[in-house]
Amino acid sequence: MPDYESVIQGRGVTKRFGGMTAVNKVDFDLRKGEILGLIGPNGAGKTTLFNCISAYHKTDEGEITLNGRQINKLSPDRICKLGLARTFQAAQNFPDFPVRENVRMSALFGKKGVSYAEAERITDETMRFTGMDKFANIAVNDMPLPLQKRLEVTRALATQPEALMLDELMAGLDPAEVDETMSLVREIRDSGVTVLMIEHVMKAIMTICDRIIVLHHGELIAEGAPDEISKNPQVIEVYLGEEV
Amino acid sequence: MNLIKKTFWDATGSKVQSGCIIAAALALAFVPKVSSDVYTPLFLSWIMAYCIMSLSWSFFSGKAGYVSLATASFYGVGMYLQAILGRELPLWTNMILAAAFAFCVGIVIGIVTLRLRGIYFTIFTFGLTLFLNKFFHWYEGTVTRTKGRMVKPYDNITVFYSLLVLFAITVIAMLLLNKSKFGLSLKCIGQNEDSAQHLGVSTTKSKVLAFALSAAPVGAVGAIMCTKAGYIDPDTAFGLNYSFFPVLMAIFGGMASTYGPIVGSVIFFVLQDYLLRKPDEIMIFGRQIVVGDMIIFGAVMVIVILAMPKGLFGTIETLIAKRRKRAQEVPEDA
Repeated sequence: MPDYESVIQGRGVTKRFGGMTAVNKVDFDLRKGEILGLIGPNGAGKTTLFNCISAYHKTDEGEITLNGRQINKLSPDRICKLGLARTFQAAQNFPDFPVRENVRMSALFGKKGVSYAEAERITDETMRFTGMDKFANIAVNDMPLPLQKRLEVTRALATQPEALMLDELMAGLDPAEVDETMSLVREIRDSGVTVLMIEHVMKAIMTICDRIIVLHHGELIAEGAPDEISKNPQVIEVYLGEEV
Repeated sequence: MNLIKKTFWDATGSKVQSGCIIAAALALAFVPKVSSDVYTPLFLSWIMAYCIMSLSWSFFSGKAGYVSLATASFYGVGMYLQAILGRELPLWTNMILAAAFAFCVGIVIGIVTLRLRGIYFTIFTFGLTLFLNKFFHWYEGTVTRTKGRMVKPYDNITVFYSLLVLFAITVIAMLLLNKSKFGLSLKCIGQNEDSAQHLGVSTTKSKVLAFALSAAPVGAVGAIMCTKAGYIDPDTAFGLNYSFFPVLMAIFGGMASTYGPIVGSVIFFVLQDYLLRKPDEIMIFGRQIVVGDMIIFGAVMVIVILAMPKGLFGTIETLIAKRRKRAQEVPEDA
């Protein structure tokens, strides 16, 4: 019996595209209350694994469970309602709606039976939490990239998830923005949301993650605390030339 | 009564708007009483028929971004239902039956096709109309051994009031649905379907239901307008123009608000009617040239769509918003 409680559990997760196996028999656990980093070189299958979990892709083999309930046969909206939210690598906001309306949609649809009044309250709270309340009436496309990404996180949070998956939240940000985002991710975790994040910014991943799993060619090659991972010879080989 | 009043305020959002709608409905209701002309009620009936069809079309396609060319299918289904049951049942029951039947057809077609995205959905719905047309041709040719059907006629006034009631119901229903969670889910789907689904919008359910709901009023319109045809056959019932005109009218008027398709339908129909009736000769460079109404009509459509991508109503709205903004900015400068 493990000494932790899993929020998401994957066993033998496999995804093929034609003859190419993008994710190959991956086992993983997202433990309650942690920040789990998912790293690996380009093309390692990180985003594909994300897509399998959120049911954007159909998993070919294996099983993914959320709090013990199998989710890899459900539709993305059901998974969201069960308490798992995600962001996309490229922010997928609603361009015709101003910022606040974007967040309100998540609050309204993210959970079953949310009333309009509740949705308003959740929207305000979430926007205050992420600091988006200052930009409530701005058109989405007028915002710079860091704010668009922050809005994407805000929308995901407004669905009131138990676990949140962040796909390369810090890509394209300058160091100061990376620091801000890191503290945001910490605050999200401290508010009780379990976080699974794909990241290429090593400094961020090594600092804020409790555990890290490493994918390479679709296979899980290492798992452990950040300092273990940075000393793992196989990981160093995969990242040859890159500072881990 | 209080509930109706409340829902009505909710639907329209402002007293001015709801006042305008009530005034327009009353004014329309009195037209047959005032006008001695027999043609006027029928003319207005056709306008209302197209208003309902383009409103219904824009309710689903305008919001969700799936261009449907199935309007003629639902219209034809309504027509045939009235043609078959017209002598047994009164018009209002047939309207309800046609709406229900079109709704069911919409559900089935929706479940089968709404996994298709973009152009494939459009092509399928286009094919559906062609298929129903040919199917009825085949059915009449081999099974019933008839060519078309005679329809029990109704007078212009009955047709007019039937459409007025249907029009009012459609407008209020659309206004209410636009503000509902359901309407919002469609707007989300239209902007980014994947994103909407990952945020908890059950996209398939919303799309199928919206598609079927947008079919219902069209079926009822078909049942009513059928009575003015006297005789229908598959070509009149499933005419492709019933698919194309509502789309053009909605684009012409602007799809962003409920009033856009109405404005579009009115101007479109009046313009078309005028061009059809005028002698088709105009002077260009001092020479008399014969032109079909559709040439002028098409040119006007192209110009409007190029110059006003948001449609007539959308452009006017934008202009008003700009003026308001400017009016607000002036005191700050001073």
